[in-house]
Amino acid sequence: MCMSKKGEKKKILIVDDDVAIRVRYVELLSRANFDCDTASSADEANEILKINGVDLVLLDIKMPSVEGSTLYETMQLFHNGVKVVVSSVYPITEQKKMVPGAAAYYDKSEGVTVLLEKIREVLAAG
Amino acid sequence: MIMPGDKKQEITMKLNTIRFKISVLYTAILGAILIVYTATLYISLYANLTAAFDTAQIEKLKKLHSTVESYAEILGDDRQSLIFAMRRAIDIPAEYPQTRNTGLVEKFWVRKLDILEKFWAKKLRILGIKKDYISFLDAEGKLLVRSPNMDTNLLSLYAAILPGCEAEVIKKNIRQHHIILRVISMPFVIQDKTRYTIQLGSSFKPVMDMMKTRLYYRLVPIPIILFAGFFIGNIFASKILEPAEEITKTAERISHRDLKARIDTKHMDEEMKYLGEAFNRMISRLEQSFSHIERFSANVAHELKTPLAIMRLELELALWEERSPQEYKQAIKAVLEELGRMFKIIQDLFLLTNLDFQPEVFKFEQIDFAPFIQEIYEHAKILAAHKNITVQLTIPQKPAQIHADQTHLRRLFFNLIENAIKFNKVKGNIDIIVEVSDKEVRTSIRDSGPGIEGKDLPRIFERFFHSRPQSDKHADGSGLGLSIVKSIAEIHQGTVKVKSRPGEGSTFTLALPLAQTDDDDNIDGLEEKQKGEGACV
Repeated sequence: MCMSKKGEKKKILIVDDDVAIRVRYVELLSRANFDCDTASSADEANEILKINGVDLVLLDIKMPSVEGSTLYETMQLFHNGVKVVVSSVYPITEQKKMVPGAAAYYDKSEGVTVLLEKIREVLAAG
Repeated sequence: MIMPGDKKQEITMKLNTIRFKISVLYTAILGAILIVYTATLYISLYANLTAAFDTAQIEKLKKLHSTVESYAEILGDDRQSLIFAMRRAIDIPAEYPQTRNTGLVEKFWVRKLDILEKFWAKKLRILGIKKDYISFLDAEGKLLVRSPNMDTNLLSLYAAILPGCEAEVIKKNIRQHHIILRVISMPFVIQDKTRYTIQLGSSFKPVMDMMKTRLYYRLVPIPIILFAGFFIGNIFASKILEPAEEITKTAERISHRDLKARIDTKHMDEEMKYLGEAFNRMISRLEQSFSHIERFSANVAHELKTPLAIMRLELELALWEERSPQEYKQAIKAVLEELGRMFKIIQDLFLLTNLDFQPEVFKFEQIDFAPFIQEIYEHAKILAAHKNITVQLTIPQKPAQIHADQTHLRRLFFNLIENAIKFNKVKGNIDIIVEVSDKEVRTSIRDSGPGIEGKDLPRIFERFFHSRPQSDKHADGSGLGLSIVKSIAEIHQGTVKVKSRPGEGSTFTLALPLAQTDDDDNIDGLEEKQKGEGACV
């Protein structure tokens, strides 16, 4: 289900400053058959996006130095086409205000099933 | 009159306004000024009119006397001749005295007397003494002659008030049958030897009438002026109080949702401008406090929700598929770690609340700084051992006494040491350098970590501010450590500063004031007070 036509796994970039979150997302998404890459800051994420293409970015909002909302704007300018699922502990209404226009929004307290559903929906939408 | 409660209250409220009070005060002052002004004018008018009246009366008296004297010149100054002269002077018919009724001389003085009579008759018409009350008295005050209109009653009044034997002019007012008489008693001397007194009383009515008319014209406009004054005062008061209404309206508009409203102080009077500006500044401070609380609450929610989200993620992953007991154990351990993180945040929040709002939790005492920092240093060495970090202490010989709460000051130093270890490289260094000056003791804690970026430096003491991604290890920090450091330093009247450059490590410097021997008594007193208050709570 998650394989592309050529049978390749979809690649997801996890951007979160909290290492505990990153580790667990990697575990979850790998089990759900996605390829994962991680970045602990906006700068790291930009570097990865420059080198490797990704299908989806799972983006945290509150990060030291450069916030997720700024990174989102940068990605829209320089990495056009990359889909973004915002993932934060802020309520979804707040997330929409902070990062308007993302493909989906996920509240970290919603649980893994909801997260996977949202990721799959966004990827399926093309 | 029974009034419905609401209406009564409404009237009381209207009377209890500053506007009403200012108007009443304004009217009262205006009224007092008008009354004093009117009274002064009235008194001076009375004095002037009386003086003019008296001058005319004295002229009359002098003319009467000169007539009496003229008669006396012709007839002589014996008593009979004088009585004749006085009667003729006030136009009462009289017979010639018998004393000089002889021959040729008689013809001569009869002629002189005729001339005098004619002359005086003319004068009397002009003088108009018919309505006056005149009496002539001898040197002993005995009545010689009186005008026909004087009854015995008036005569006794004259005698009671004006004895008639004084050597000076006396002026008195006498009231008789609702008529006020102004009486002047004036002594005269005939041919330098015979003393007598003329008392002339005239109705004072013209003067009193004029006074009454003037008083009427002056008093009648006063209520009208006061009434107008009250309204003008009301308008002035309304004008003056306009800014107060503006402030009230603005205050009404302000709520915790909208603290943006401000008073336009541009056109206000100076005093009201101060009030308006003070109000605006207060609202600005409130706005800042509210936004601080809002940010703080959002941060608390964010920081507490993160470990909960991780725990949920961990548990859901554990339940994803069948696992080995070892893996379950690991999951539980991870959840416990997150719980620890939550407790740490909550404990730090409690501590910050205490620091902010409960200064009585502090127990200050005078301590020797050297052994205190030595103890911190010993602990720091143990804490830094797992990363092979070398800790060094440099301390001068000069002794330093400070006033401190040891528990909280220890907490401050451990927060700084923990940061210096957490953000340090393995086999790095931590230098604790103590300097003692005349006024303060400065302790610098320098690490060999990655340093802090310039743009983050002003914010690192903010609550929940994380300057670096928690990348190497999932941090057990609450984001409140440096806020706690700053709060404790401030409670100790100290300051904490940071110097750092990326790649060159960071140096946190805490400056604490030395305990002043002179002030010790005062500070002890203060502590006693704080303890006392604490005991009461």
